[in-house]
Amino acid sequence: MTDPPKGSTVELPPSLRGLLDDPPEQVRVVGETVDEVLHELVAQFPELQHHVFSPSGAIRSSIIVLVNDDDIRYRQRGRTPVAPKDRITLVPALAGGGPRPHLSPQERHRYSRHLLLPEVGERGQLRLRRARVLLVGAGGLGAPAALYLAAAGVGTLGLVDADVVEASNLQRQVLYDTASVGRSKVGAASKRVRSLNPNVRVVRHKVRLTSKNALRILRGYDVVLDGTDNFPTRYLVNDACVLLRKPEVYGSVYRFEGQVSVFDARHGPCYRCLFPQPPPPELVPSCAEGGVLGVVPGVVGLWQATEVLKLLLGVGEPLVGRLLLLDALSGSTREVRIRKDPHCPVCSAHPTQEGLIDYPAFCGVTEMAARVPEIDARALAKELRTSRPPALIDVRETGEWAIAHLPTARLISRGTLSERVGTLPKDRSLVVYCKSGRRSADAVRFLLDRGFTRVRSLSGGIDAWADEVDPRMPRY
Amino acid sequence: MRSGPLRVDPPESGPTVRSPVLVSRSVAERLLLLAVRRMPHETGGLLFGSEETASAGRIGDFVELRNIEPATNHYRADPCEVRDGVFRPEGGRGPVIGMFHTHTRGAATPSALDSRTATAGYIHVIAAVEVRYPRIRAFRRDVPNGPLTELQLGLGSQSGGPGCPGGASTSR
Repeated sequence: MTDPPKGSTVELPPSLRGLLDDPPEQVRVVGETVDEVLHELVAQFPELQHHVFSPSGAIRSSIIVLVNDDDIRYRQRGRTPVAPKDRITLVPALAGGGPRPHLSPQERHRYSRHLLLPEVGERGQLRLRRARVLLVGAGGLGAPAALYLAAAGVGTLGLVDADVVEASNLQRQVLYDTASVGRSKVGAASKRVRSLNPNVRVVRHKVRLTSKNALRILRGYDVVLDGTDNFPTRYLVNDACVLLRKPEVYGSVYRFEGQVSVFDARHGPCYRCLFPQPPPPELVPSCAEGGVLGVVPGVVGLWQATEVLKLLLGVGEPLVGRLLLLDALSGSTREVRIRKDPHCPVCSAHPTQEGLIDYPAFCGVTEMAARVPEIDARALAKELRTSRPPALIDVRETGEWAIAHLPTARLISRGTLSERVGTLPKDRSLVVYCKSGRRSADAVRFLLDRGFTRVRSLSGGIDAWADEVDPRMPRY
Repeated sequence: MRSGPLRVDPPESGPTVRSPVLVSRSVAERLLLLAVRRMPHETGGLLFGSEETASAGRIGDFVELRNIEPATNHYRADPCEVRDGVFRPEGGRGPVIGMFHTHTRGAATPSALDSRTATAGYIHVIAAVEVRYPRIRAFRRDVPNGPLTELQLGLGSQSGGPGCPGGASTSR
């Protein structure tokens, strides 16, 4: 009986076997490490020396050595131990790539302050150049973020906004100037961004984000910055990001306060874990209704931009699972921990919602508008000229009233309505108005519940009045 | 990629091996289509065919191998898949005569990485798609440390017959 052959089995590819006069398919070679085995191999077959080892004696980069299924480059390279039962296979390296990207001299100069940071450097700057960031909303939050992300060298910026620039935007939306008023936001923004940094590619999405287009639009981006000003779009952005497994950098502002967080369902909670249900629409006035100190969205938008850059560069601790609360009046910030909801309908292990839904209905926006009696601006103007005009109740805030109000109207802000409801006549027709018709619809519902029968909401609010009846009325 | 006739260009500057590599029109088109589909990521794989005395080889088929490189501008095949393709080719494809990979940026010209890793004795095909029109070029290194020289690429018919020598490309 003969002894079994000693040593490990080495498999040679046809390209190496072709170099040998009488090529065996497998060779038995003794050695305790890969280096020892390969040196023994070339000792047996000197023709292989220059194909396996470089002149410096290292294993050639054109050869990959597998020990069983393991690539030795991920173990101990040449020092990887081998046992007699191991199968060592030499395979040709199959690797390549286009020209290594590099920064141009102009880019090095432009981004030199980044290149000085070890956390960024040329490698990080190239990552920024490759990155695609979508800004949903080119308003108070999106405007400062777009400027700084463009300045930082983010290669592709997508902008989603269907609105036009209004004069009342200029107090905080620093992407736009006076000459931009009346132009589309994405058009004016892309012009400004390109003038700031011509290396940035701006993709304009002059649409409202809806359940029908959200996945298609978001799919092409690495990170989504949520700069929306309404709850339906905010839930839509969250759900789409969860479905597409993309991080969302969230921000919101109200008056002197702001919030920032990063929602990435792969590593932490999503927006729905924080707010499973939207608040009643009447309790969430927008900036247009509640007002905002112009610099606050600037601070929050730039904090969002910072989080975007951290995610793209892979540095620092992103605000995943943390909600940052900023208060400009007190000059303070604090942090709230957010936990992943194990029963979250979209991001839990067993989601109950597997696609996008009707978000206006989910947030109660369409439902509320449909349920109360309304009067339009022209009809109201006609009724006000009759001998028995309706009483006008303005449910906005004092600051809004000071900008513009309807003649003969009485100011009872929505927050004080329950206290002052007893002062309102039940035997007279009432028309309630606010800025856009949202708060007045809620007020009308409140009054109907308390026995008022002749009460209506001015549809479209004082904005509609300015559009259809009195164009001289100041807008805000 | 727009469909259109395959264009034939002469090899670019540099030393050229006169014996052509033969590739059928359908293989060349499928290779380019694969490159476009994988954008923005690079891809690559093994080339099967036969080595012929009258030519540098005849590419009859190819197989894509999984890219384990996360960066979009690099391709690195899963070495276990390379091993299986080289040692245990499926379905009578013939021997492995070369490798291919795609360039998503720049021309079908070997990069520094390509030159460093190209294994001697194999045909190395590069397919570039983000250029004026998609293009395939072939190269080979005969000995370790030797120059990576361009091979003429003969575009053949569906059956793999030889056509005009030169780099194969399609318009888009």
